[in-house]
Amino acid sequence: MFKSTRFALSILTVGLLVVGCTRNDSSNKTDPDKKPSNAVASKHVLDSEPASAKGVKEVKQQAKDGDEVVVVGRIGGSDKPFTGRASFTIVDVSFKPCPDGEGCPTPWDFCCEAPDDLAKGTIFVKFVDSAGKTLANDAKALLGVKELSTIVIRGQAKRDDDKSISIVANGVFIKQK
Amino acid sequence: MYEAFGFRLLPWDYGVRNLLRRPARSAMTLFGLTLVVVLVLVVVGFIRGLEVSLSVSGDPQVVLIHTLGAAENMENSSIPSSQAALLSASLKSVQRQQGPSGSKVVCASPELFLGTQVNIDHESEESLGLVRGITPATPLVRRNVQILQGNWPGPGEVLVGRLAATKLGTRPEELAVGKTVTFEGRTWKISGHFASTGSALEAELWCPLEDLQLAMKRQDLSLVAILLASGADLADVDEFCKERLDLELQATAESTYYASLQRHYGPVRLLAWLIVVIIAGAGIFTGMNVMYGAVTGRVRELATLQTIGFVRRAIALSLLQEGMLLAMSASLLAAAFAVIAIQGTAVRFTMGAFTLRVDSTTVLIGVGVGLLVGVLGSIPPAIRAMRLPVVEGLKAI
Amino acid sequence: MPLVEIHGLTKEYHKGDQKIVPLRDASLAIDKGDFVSLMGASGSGKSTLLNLIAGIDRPTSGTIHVAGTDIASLTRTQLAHWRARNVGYIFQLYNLIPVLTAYENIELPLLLLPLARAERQKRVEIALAAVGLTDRADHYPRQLSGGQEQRVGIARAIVGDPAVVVADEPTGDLDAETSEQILHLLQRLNAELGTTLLMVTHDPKSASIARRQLRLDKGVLLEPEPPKVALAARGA
Repeated sequence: MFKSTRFALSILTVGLLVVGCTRNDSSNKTDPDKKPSNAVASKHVLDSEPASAKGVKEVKQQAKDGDEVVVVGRIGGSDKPFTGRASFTIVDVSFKPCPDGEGCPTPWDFCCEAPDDLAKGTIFVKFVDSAGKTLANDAKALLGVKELSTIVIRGQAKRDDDKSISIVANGVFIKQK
Repeated sequence: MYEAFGFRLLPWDYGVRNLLRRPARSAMTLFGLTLVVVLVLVVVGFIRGLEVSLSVSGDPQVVLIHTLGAAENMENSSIPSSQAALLSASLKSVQRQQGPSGSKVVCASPELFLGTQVNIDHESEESLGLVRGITPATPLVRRNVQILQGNWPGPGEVLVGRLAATKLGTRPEELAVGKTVTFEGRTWKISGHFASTGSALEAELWCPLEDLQLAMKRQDLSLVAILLASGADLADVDEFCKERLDLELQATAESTYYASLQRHYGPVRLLAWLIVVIIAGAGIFTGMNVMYGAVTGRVRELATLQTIGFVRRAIALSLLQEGMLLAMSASLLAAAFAVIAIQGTAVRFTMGAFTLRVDSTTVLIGVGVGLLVGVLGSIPPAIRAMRLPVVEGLKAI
Repeated sequence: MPLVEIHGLTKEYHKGDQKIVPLRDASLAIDKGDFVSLMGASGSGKSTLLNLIAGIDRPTSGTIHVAGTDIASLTRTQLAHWRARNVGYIFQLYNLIPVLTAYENIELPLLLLPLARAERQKRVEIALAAVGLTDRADHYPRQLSGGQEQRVGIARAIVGDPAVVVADEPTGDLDAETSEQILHLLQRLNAELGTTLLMVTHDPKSASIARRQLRLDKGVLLEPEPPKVALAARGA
């Protein structure tokens, strides 16, 4: 009998709801081409190029702890030169970015240079607050720089021992984005 | 409900009973489709097992410090043992816990990790196993590790992961507590078994770091795994590594490390999905064959239904319903079988071992594919049924 | 006004290069409550005419009005709905649905009508009683004899109280005794319920039970009775 057939065919639809969760977290996304305009940025970004800039290799060899230094370099040295804060590594301008087709992960890791040479020509730069802590802002957004930007850093050398040296920066001039 | 589609539908019973009309044929089709869905579930369970194994392996609070450029292959990483102490002392972002004597214990685990030939007891064949030299500090960082049986390894002992037997291609009994394994020229007594919430670590053999270094005549480490202090993040460690470029270290979040391994298995997953498509395609043709048979064997009957006044769409839907019903039954049978018989089956692969995962996602995909097979297999025969001219159909024998 | 009015009805189709004309310029009127038999040799076009009146085939030219509807102008779906309300079809080979019981087979046309379950049950029971198969309601077609199957077929054709019941060789597959019982049943339905019946047969004895007997020969209706009055009234 059709006693159980009062209901007609109800099509079973398996709704495979693919929920794509795309979080637009603007705090992590930065546009390096955007000109920094806030007060913090203007404090660090210099309008004119500081004079007598030295290369990274020279500064690494010669600078002593506490020396005021002006160093020119390009942002890079590894596939991730930025830390996500106001700090990054720069390399000596004598190094050439890896050409396309070499199979390098990124042009700014300068992996085609000899590792020892690259180590000698790479230095860490950070912008700190009054307590000496690295500023939490991403350098890309804060300073308007990106990988392979050529910049001139003005700051103080910080040498922990004979091997380790970094720069606590107080100004940056962006020569080439 | 009869007019849910704007026209009167055939009774539900009609479709159901038609399946029972030729029981042997329906049973064979059901078996075939069940097999198809089981195969789909196995492959999807494989993909899910691989994905989940690698995704649960990364503790978001753990950072791996290794040699520059070794982010994707920790075996190639080599850092001097002395740097472990330097890192522990210098890194402010590492969690420190109260030790038993009131001193602070740094949550940093220096480890030596390698893939090496392992000989099980006195078996003649060797297998490639994954060995990790560990210290008493390791459980402070590897927080998900649980000892299932036995004890933490003492000198000359080894703690065996839950899936190590699968990775070594042997039976779990061969790695029972008290038995021995040989690697790196030394025999190690099995002290216990551990689990780690299904992570990749479960395929490994853990022995004391110093013993392993001694056996291998190595002084270095592969990595130092650290547990971040509350409020600290990867950038803290990254800054340290970039500041101390002379150490040639690099920091990678553990979750990023395993995510990068997942990328390695992209082609495998792609191939697995391709297999799913091929199996589903075979299922569609099986279903189509059966449903074409249902149409050709019922031409006069379908024409009669049209003569009575049922519209062609109602008849097509009824055929679709038959196909769906068959596919749904097959999917449910297959899902039940997979949950009982396939779930948890251990699979060996190059970087370890994992278990097939028949979870809700796997079942949903498997059943979804099964129903898709039912729908796609029924549509062409249903269209054919719709095209049959009534007068010609009534003359059919 | 006649229940069925056809005028100038022609059906043609092509088989390869050959044009076949199973029905040529046929005109006919059937009154409500009439019982008409349509005789003719095999291939004479009698089934074609029956199918055209039943709305399962379409004419090449001409008009067919059944119960006031010009069915040649209806779409395929409209025709299906129209058939559900207006036509009962009795098949030579019964054409019962094998997976449904006698009761369910008879109920099938009622599922297409806006009727409550109780009303359907009442009608099916009446139809079963009318064909004398109340005790076979739960039997499947394979459990019934040929004559019983045809009686279920007849019950299915009349259960919806259609405007016209068409029967295509209803006794063609039955033995003489059973044939007689079926013909008698049809006669009773016509006489007692006033069912309008159009029956196709090649058997003169079967045809003789009808009130009117028509004959088709090579697609031509030999004893046509043009519905002059009705057609004039329509301005045709």
